[in-house]
Amino acid sequence: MHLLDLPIEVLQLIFLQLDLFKTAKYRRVCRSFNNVLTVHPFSNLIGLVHIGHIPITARAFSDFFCFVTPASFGKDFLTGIQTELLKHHDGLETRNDFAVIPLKSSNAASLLECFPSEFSRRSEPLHLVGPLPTTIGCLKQLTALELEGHKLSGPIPRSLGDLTRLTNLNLKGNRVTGPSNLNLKGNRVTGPILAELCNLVNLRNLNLARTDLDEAIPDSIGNLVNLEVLDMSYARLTGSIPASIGNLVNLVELNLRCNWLTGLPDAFGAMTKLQMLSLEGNGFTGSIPASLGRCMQLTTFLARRNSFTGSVHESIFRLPLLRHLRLDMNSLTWESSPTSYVRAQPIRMETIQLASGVNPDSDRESGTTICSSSAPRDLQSANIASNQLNGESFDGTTDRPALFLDLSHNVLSGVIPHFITTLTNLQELTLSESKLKGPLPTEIGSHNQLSGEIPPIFMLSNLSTLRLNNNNLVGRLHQNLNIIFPRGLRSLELSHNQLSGPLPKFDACEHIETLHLDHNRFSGHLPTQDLKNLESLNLSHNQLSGPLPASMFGGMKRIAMLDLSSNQFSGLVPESLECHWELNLLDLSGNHLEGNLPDCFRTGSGKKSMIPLRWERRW
Amino acid sequence: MVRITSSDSQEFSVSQDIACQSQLIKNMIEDVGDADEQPIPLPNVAGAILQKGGSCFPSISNAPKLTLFAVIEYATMHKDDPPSAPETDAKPSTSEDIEDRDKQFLNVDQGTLFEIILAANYLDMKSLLDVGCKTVANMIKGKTVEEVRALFNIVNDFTPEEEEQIRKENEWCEDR
Repeated sequence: MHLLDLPIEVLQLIFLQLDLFKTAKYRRVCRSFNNVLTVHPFSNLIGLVHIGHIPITARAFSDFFCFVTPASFGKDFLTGIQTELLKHHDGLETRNDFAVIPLKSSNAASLLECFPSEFSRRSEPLHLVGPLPTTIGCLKQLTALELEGHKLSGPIPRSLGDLTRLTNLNLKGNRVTGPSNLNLKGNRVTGPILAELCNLVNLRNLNLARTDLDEAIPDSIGNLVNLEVLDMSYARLTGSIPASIGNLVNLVELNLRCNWLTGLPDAFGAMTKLQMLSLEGNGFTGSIPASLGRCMQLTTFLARRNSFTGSVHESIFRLPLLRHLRLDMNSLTWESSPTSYVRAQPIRMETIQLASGVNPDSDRESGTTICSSSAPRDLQSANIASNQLNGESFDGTTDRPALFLDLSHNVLSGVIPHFITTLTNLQELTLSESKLKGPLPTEIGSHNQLSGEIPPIFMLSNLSTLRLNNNNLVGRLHQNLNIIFPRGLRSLELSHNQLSGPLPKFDACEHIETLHLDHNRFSGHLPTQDLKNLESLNLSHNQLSGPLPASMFGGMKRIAMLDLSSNQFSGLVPESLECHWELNLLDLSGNHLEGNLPDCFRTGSGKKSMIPLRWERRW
Repeated sequence: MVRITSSDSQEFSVSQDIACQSQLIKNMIEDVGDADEQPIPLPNVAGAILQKGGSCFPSISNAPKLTLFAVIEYATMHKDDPPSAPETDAKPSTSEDIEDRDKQFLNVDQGTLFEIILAANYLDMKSLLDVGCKTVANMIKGKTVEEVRALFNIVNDFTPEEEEQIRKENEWCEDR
């Protein structure tokens, strides 16, 4: 009897006794050998090759390993990966003897357990580089593939779709493209793969974050009904999310942050376990799905930086556990009536950001939403900027209201939302860079179509800072600031609006420290009262005229910045201007003034000459 | 006792625990029921029953091993082994770890060795098949392609082009 008379399966058994990665050379013996050695299981071999290390200490190394298969295992392939690595890793010492650690088992629960002896005793950092083995699908018993934080690259093998027992797939951070508890996070894997992954119906955790998928989410995503965590952030996903995503009723966390997704189905109604949803940084259009209002476990909903339009369904604001809500940098409108928000359950909101800008206190505990009224809540910080607050704007009242409210960078084409007037603890109000046209609200619970003047918001008795810069506010300021602004106001910034008429009388605002009314259309003369607490006064770029009253300047002992430039002031520069040590900037230029700044502004020992009307302290 | 007959109608009587080292026979007994009634035919164990001394194969040991006889001999030798653990990879088996008695047992000519392996495969005797394959693997191990051809009297049936193609594909492993 001859060796070749043995059946193929016996020949296979014989070769399996050999070092699997050394059997390939016997393909050349004869056709029978070749036939055996080019099919499963020899074609499905997976091995690891140590291709280099970085010395950490004298005795410890950070090792780089690469998966190989008979098809990929070649000197060119391995040196190519080494070359790539050398570009990014200083001190990498490459190896030339490419000994293969073959994968011996298909019963292990995780890929790295398949290489037990070589891995379990390693305490040094281990980096997997290069592509995932195309034959990974032969490891049918794998239940977890945790490759987060490695440096894999190249296409995600379609055969991953054969690992139907996987419950945990994590490829996060690998630059791979395309599989389920598949964690490929952060690996540089690429390529279309999602459709195959959607076979992995047992997956509970799929992490493809920071991969380069470059594809749309297939309908079959709806097969993964056991998914609890789906993280496909930063994965270069395109297209619309299929409605079948609504099948994923076990989802607790869905992270699609920073992709190129455009369409979003209103299919969240059955996701009753959903706690975290991030849609941030995509190109979603249309309205925010109202069905989210049925995700009663939702604590975090992030949808900033999209192109959502329309109004937000009130039910979303009423989600009882919602603590973090960020909708800024969209084109949402807020068309609420004061009664439209049901005042029900207590809300413990920590972050609400409906607009861009820095939320100064997002980490504080126990804030509340400003969106629903009269529930016990204590918003520490609200930021509603970067949306288009139209019409009556955003409505909400709070019993223990906001300390800081930033509505900047909006298209506030309407009026300032009147709920602001109810935020009686408000200390800072910023509405800059909006396109606020109308008047400020006049009183709690109502707003007037103001014809001209900024309405009184003096009931904000704790308000110390009011910023309404860069709006289209029109009309006049009331002569008595105390009528419209709270007595304790320290900072009033109304720059870059279209306010007109005379300046208000300053004596009523004895506490004011910062007054910026520049870039408006104020006209008339400067008031004569001294403003002894004033630290920063900017009246530049108005149509103010008349002399600079000596009495006014004489009293400003704490002034640090004084800008009166680009008006039509005339007359002499008052000698009462003092170059006291706190003054940093004085600008009287662009007027019709005569004379120089007083001698005290002369820097150095220069000869008597013109001193420019703009002076800046040089430290 | 179980009666088994080879393809050339030789009949053997072996105890059940020995016979049942063959998964095939074990299954048959379970299927048929009472094993004493009917001899179990093994038509695929060719020439299983050459008489002692009638071997057509030269044997190093000069003790001709007749396939079924040899298989029974092996089974008898191993009848007291603990039942083989279900396949695990706890201890990776290598072609090195062959018991001395098995080495001795398989110290036969190639033809007989392959017959035994074939019979073990047919009879579904995992441990014998395993040790047989290891023996062959050890014969291959470390040899060049040409040495393997010579050892097993294998004719190179590739065209020169085909062989060159494979040689190219295998460059990565040829010199190792």
